[in-house]
Amino acid sequence: MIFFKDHSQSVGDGHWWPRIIIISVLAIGLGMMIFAGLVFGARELTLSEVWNALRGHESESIASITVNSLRLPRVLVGIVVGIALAVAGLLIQNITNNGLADPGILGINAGASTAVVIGIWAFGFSSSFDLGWLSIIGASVAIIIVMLIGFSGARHASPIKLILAGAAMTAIFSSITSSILFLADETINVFRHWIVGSLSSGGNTRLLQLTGFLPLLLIGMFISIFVLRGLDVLQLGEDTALALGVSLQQIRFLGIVAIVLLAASATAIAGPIGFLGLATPHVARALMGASMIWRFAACLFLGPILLLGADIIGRLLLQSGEIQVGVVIVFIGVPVFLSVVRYSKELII
Amino acid sequence: MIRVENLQVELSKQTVLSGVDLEIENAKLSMIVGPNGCGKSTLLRSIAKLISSAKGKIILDKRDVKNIPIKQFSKMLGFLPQNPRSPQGLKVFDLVSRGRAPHQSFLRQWSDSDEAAVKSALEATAMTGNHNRLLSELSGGQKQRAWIAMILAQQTDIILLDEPTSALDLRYQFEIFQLLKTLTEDHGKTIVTVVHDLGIAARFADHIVALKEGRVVASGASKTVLTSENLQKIYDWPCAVMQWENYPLIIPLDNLETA
Repeated sequence: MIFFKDHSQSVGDGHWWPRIIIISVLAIGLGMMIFAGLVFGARELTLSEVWNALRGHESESIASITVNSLRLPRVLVGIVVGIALAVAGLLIQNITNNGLADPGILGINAGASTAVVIGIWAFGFSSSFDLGWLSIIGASVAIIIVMLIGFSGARHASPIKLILAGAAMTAIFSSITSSILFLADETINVFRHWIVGSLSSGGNTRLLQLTGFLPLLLIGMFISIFVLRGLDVLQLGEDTALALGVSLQQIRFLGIVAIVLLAASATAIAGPIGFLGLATPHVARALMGASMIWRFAACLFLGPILLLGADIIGRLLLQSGEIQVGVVIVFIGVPVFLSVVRYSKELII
Repeated sequence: MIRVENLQVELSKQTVLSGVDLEIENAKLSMIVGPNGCGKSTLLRSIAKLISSAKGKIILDKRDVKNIPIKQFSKMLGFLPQNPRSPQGLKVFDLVSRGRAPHQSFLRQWSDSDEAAVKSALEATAMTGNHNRLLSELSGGQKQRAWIAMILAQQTDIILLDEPTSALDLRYQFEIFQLLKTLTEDHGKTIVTVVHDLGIAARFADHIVALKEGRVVASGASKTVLTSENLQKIYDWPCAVMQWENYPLIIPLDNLETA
């Protein structure tokens, strides 16, 4: 994943090695999180039980069922959703040139919520797979409207235009959601489970959802990688980017398509999980500097680390039951985020 | 050679350039001067293909720039805006390596020629020792040299700079323009800059283009353009012009009409 090979050893002692080392440390951190995600939970398992379960020994034992059909799917979902949200956040902050942006700023979450609420209320959908598709449809409708507004008129797709269009759509969709919820009491019960965001609820269902939406995620990741260098140059300003041969319209359009694919499928799989998309790119910048390529690499590990960490803590906090990851992520994420903002060498926002 | 023919630009329904014709010679340092709002930056940005609504022709190597694809154009001409945006956490080496973007693609990644271009750009701007520092840690002059190194790494024959020294003190201004002069004389670069400081223009320009209200009022060598009659016409202000060695020396006078 090295596009700008920063091998400046020849120019002096480079910044290549420190970044490689940071990525390695993050990889080890992710490994530990995956491990912790398999070991910790309502039922304490020993290391050898987990190991045996993963190797397929004693496949009928409770330990094996817990690991293979509950915890492993959950960890996999956490990794995929964490990557998708972190990368979507990285792209949206770059495209809008706004450190406070997250995928929600384009109206993605509001559109998804509205579609889900309408689906529950008018058509009686309740399975998480159906709600997943509904949320993708809602997110797409919202983003298409935002892009129609943003890419029309005089100043094409200026960041501020996209943000304003997103804010307007968010307001409209939120009030539709609120009015339906106000009218229909039963809808709230299904909706409130969806809205907090979760990695759990019967591992196999999530896993099915994961595989169902995986093609969209993979396309989103591929487009992200494709636009990464253009977005990297775009950080130097529009004129500079144009002068360096970057087609702004194309890069922004593809970038937004990638954001929708990633954020909407993440929402479809795990419900709307906030904050991760906002905070992760900042942590990545504090570790890696301005380079989009290196921050992208860092986000691949940081997103899952934060999400799995929040999920594990949510499982351990309560004696019985658990706190949904969408709630925990905010409580863990905010202190991490604030300390990065507070102590990083350069002002971040 | 760059040839501009009957260039007309309207920005938000205001006429900014009304029929500009000019020729810019290869391997020379040309400067665009004129009062605030006369269209200097717009002229430069039009040549850099940054103003899509520009009417008229801009011919570069016998080709209308409109017909040159953006990627190919970015290998021919480099442009440095007046206030480029520097993202937080950007190191000098990273910035300069961004200048290689036109030469790279999804399939063609970082190569030895990119490495060599970045190295020589850092050397030419005397930034090799600072390559691993954050842009925000640098002085104004160093920062500007880093940006110029980025443009040099782009390895274009033509370089356009919009007021490259507007925030710099005398010494840094001088250093930057000496560097630009060397680039034209020793490396055959064609450089066009917008400048405000007539002292700099008098001292360094091979060719001066004076604009007023969107038209060229004078064009030529510094001695022919920077005369007291021309300056009165361009700036509506009386100036005395003397000669120091071979350079015009401009002294603004009291304006008796407004005093």
